Amino acid sequence: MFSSRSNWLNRIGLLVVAACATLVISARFELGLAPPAAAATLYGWALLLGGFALLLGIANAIWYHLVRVQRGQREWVFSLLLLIVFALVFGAGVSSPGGSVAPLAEWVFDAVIAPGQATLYALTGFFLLSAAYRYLRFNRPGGLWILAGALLMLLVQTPFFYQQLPEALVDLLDWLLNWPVMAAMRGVLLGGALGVLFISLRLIVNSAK
Amino acid sequence: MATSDCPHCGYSNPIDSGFCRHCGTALARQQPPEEPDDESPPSSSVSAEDQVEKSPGPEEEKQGESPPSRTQGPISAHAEPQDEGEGRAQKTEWAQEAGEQEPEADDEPQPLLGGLEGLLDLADTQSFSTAGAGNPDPASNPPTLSRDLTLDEEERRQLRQLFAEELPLEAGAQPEPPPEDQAQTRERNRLQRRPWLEAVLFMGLVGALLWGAEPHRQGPGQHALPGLDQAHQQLDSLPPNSLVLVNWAYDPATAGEMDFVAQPVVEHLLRKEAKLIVVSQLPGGPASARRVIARAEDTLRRPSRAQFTANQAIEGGFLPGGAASLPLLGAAPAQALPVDPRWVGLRDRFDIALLADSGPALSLVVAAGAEDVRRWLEQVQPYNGAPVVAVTSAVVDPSIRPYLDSGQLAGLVSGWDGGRAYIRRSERTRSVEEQARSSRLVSGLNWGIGILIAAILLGNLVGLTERRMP
Repeated sequence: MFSSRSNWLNRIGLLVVAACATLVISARFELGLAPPAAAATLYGWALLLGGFALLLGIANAIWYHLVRVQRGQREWVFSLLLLIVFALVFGAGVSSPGGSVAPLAEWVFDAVIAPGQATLYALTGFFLLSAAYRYLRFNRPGGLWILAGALLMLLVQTPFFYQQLPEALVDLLDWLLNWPVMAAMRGVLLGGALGVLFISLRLIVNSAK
Repeated sequence: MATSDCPHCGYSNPIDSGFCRHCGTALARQQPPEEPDDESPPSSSVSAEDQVEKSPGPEEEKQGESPPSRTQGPISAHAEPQDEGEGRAQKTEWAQEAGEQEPEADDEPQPLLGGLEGLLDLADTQSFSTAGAGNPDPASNPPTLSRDLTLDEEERRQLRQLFAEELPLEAGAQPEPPPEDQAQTRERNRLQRRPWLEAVLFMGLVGALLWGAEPHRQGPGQHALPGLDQAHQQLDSLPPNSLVLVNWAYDPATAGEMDFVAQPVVEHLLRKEAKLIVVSQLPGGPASARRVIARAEDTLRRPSRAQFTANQAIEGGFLPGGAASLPLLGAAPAQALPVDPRWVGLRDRFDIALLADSGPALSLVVAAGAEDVRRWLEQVQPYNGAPVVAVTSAVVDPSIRPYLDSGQLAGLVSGWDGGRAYIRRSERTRSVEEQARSSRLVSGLNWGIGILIAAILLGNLVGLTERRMP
């Protein structure tokens, strides 16, 4: 990547970034500095770069695990398993005329990918419980309020659970959601947006450290 | 068997190991540089391949130091050798020197991408000490992570505890306050338990109860779902053959909830004979969309076979590039749609061309996360100007309600409650199979949440009981 030793290369890269930013900002605010097609072309390049980065990531993962298997490093069997599964899924997609909608690829999605992802995501509940034991404690300063708020939000976000609750409590939860929570959310959105804006500007003018 | 000692913990590792098997330190990067004279033997832990990778370039040789690696953690960063010509027996010394040396002012400009990594600098454990880390005297027990690379097991345990338990104090602060200070600290902590603070919160809750006593607009027991009626009206007002650009931003991980919310909305669109152009930025998104649309089509065929819903969806496929490529969907959708025009039918080609000319009549964002809705509102909607309806999980609802209030979002259907209310709003009776599936899902989630709440409460009670026991 760029290095501090190649000063001119850094400056050229900075100029390219500044030019791209100018084009995009001009198109977004309709300043007329460049035709809109120029910004669209840049977006198209970003799309191509994204696809190429994906391929590079796949190639890097394959190479990394090939080296692990070749050297017989610890848990190399899992690396071998990953490579075999990758080859099978890739072969299923490429060899079928239907591509990603071929029956074999569809079966892989329904029988392997979808259950696997759902299972991994279902583990979130256990992580949530672990985090709750660590941080949602009665005896921490303010912990009781945090715990009460977390439990209330769990109750109100649970489908049909609120139907078992008194009507006044449901209204209370909605009021909490619409006023204090919403106020905090707006603050977070505004603060986050301003933070991103200033960090982006610092990056563009190359002063971020 | 040839081994190499880890510069961090001293553990003897096989010569081809990239990382220490005991502490995980990167061995290849931790080795001190070789002595310039030819008499010194090469380091045994650096393989030939690593030698090639680590051989300094001409400019590095001129400067006489290896470039700092910001991707390494604090331990390895401070362990980078600075002085050439010292043997392995002096590793601790040169590491200490490296830790004590201040970085010299660099007249060269910063690397172009250096700031990206610098945004989230790793925690510098050298500048922290912990209150409960054994010896309270910092002089006899200094923070030793980066200055002394030979951490024993107890110090590592304390270090792990430092990151796991409490926030560390900054260096220079008293690690263990005297009893008087402890009393003051406890007194300060009680600030959050002051009666006036609790009274304010209590009054807020009572006020909410009084305010919430107003009659329900949606009938008794109904959860407030702002945006649902607006979403229904937006979809209901679509003329036939309207183009709807759909961003399918969830995959099987969250399909358990999202399918239940998305299907009624997709059914409504198909009933209105809208033309869906579906894109996704998740690799598993197009396949998930295909299944939900197929189920919706099956559902609609059941009551009346005269309703023709086939070929109402164009699969745009996977759109890589993240937020950077999203504006292309608004500025030039025909370029962004990742479909080969030769693969789609003639009618679909006309639809895509029409999308480029006049834009979509509606954008539908089906997302399990708030970020996808925000990105669409910020990156796509300003270009095509189409109203945006969001179909989201329940947890996203609070995050994107401000957009609904501001009018940027034309409608919102969130969570299983939203999906169920949308079905009722559409005045569609669910089949027995649908009701059974819905009942299973809801029962499972209710049980899961109930067990989670009970486990949290029981865990807290058990923790309190144990602390009070002598």
